[in-house]
Amino acid sequence: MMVRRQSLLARILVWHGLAMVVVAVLAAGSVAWLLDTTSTRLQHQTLNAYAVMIDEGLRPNGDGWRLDIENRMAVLGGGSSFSFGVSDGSKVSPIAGLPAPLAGIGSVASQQPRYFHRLVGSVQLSGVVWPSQKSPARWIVVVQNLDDPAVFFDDVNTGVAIVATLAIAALLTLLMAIDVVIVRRSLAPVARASQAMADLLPHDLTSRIATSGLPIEVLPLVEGANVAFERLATAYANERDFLADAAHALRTPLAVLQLRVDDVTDPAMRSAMAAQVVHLRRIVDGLLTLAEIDSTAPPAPALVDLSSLASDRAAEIAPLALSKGQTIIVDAAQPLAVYTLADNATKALDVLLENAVRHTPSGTSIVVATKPGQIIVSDSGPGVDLSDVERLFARFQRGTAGTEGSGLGLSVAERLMKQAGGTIAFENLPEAGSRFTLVFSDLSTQIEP
Amino acid sequence: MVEDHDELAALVHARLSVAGFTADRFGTQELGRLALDAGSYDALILDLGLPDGDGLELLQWLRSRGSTIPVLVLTARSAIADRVTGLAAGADDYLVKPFSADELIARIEALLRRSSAKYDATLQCGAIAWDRRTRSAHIDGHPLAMTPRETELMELLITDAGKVVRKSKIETCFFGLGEDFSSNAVEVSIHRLRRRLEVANAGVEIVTMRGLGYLLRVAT
Repeated sequence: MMVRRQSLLARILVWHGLAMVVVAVLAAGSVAWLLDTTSTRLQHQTLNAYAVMIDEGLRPNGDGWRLDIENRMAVLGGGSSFSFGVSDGSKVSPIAGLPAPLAGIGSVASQQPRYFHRLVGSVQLSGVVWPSQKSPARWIVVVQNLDDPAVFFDDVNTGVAIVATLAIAALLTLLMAIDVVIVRRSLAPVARASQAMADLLPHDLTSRIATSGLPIEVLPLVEGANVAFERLATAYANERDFLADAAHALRTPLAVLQLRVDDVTDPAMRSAMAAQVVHLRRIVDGLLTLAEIDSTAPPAPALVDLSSLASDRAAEIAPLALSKGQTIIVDAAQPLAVYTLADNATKALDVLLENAVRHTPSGTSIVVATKPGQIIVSDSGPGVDLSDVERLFARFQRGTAGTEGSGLGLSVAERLMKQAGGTIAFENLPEAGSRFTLVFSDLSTQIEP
Repeated sequence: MVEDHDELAALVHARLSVAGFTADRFGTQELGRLALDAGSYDALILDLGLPDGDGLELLQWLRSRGSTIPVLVLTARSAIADRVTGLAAGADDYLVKPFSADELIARIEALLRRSSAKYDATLQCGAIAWDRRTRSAHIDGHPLAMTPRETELMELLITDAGKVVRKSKIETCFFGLGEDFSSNAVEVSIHRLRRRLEVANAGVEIVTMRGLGYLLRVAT
C-alpha cells in the first residue's frame, strides 16, 4: 500500500483557497449585478427626465418642432452626448436647435416607455421611446451616445470591475499568506514536541515531552506518548533492578561454591569441580553481559588505539596461553586510533582471545594483529567444523566435541560489536586454523560537540 | 570485612587466617562504621550489597572522614559503569564475585604493599629471593651479582612474575638510567640475565612474548 504523506499546511491552503475563490466569484458577481441594475435604473431615470423636459417644452415649429427657451437651456446643459427627436409612431422628426438621433432609431412605439440599447457601427447607443403625456400619438425619442467622453456610467462599471478584481486578488493572496503564518504558528508546538520525541535517548526514558503551549487538538497525542514512555521507563527500571538482583543472587553462591571447592581434598574431584565452577561463572557472565547490553546506555565513543588495546589484552591472557603450551604473537606496532566504544571493544576482543586459548590445543600459535579499523585474531588450531560455522554466533551454541565454553561468548561479542556499530567476521584458514576479525566503524560523528 | 553473606564471610575469613591475616567480620554498614571508628585496621574488604544499604555509602563515609586505608570492594556487579562508580567513590581495587581465595589474598597483599612501606617485601620466584628494599637477589642464600640494567630488568620481571612485562616499559626504565643504549639493548640484557640465572640454577625462565615483551616464571 502506498502511504501518502500530506502536509496539513498544504491541505489547509488548498481548501481555504478554493473556498475563497468561490466566495470571491459570488461576491464579484453580486457586485457586478448590483452595479449593472443600479446603472441601468439611473440611465432610465436620466432618459426619462430628458423626455419629460422635452415633452413639456415641445412647441410646433412649422412642419417640425422646437423647444421653448427654458427647457432648451436645461436640455442642452446635459451635455453633447444626447440627441432628441419626436416620433409619430412611424417616423422620427428632429427638434430645431437640438441634435437629432440617427435615422431609423426610435421608430417603434408603444404606450409604455420603451428602453433600448443598440450598437451602430462601433457606437453604443442607449435610449427611450417615451409616450407623450400631452398627445396620444406622439412619442419623445431620447438617445444617448454611451461612448461619448461625457458619459461615465459604463466607465464606472468597468472601473469598479477592474478595481474589484485586483482588490479581491490582493485580498486572496494576503489571506493565503496569513493562513501560512497561522498554520505555521499553530503547528510550531507540534514541531517542538516531535523534536523532543526524536531527541529521547533509547536508554534514558526519564525525560518527557513538554505539554505547555500545545494546542488541545494535539495534547492527547503527546500525553499519550508520555504515558507510553512512563510505562517503558518503569519496565526498563524493573529490568535493570532485576539484572542487579540476578547478578547478586547468582554470583554470591558461586563465590561460596568456588571457595568451598578449594577445600575438596581429592585433587581430581577438586579440579573437576573447579572447572564446572568456571564454566558456570562464564555462563552467568555471558547472560548478564547480554542483558546489560539491552538495558543500559553505552557511554560516549572514545578514541581507542586498537594496537595498544590488542597488545594490552594479549599481554593479559598470555600467561594462560603459555601455561597451556600455546604461543601468542602480537603484530601491532603501529598506533591505529579509532573512535569506538572502548568497553565493548575490550570485551569483544577478550571473547576472541579466550576462545582462541580455550579451544585450541597445546602447540597452537595465536596471532593478534591490527589493521586500520580492525583487530584480527587468528590461530593455527583445528579450525571450525563446517557444520558449526552457520551457528557460530547463535546463543548456547558450543563447538563440537565437548569443549567447555559457555556457548555465549561469540554471541556476546557480536552484540557488543553491533552496539558499537561494527561487525565480527569469521573464516577458516586454508591451511589450518581459524581467523576472527573485529571490524570497527568510526563513531567520531556521535561525539557531542 | 563487611559482608552480609555469612557463609561467604566465614570462608573468606578462614582463608585470611591461613594466609596470616587477622580479620573481624561485620554484617551491616552500621556495625562496620562502629568498628572502623573504634579499631585500627590496615585494610577493609567491603561488600556492596548490604542489608542496610549500598556499601558505597560506607565507603564515602570512610573517605569523607579522611581515612586512607586501602579498600577492596567485593561485588556481584560487573558492569563497567558500576566499576567506575566504585573506584570514584574511593575503592582501591575491585573484585567481582565469584573469586578464588588466592586472587583475593594476592589483591590484599598488593594493596598493603602499595599502602605501607613497612609491609615485608621479599618476593620469591623459583629459587630467587628478591629484596624490594635493597633491590638485590639471593639464590639459596647466595647473592646474585647483576649490572644496573640487569637489576632494573630483574625488578620489573619479578615484581610482575607470571605476567607479561611490556618491552616498552623496560625501555622506559633503561632510558631512566640515563645511559645511551642501542636498539637491541633490551635483548642483550635479557640474554645476559638468562645466562646468569641458568648458571646460578635459579629455577626460573624468562619467556619471550613476540610483539609484547617478556615474562618471568618458574621453570617447567
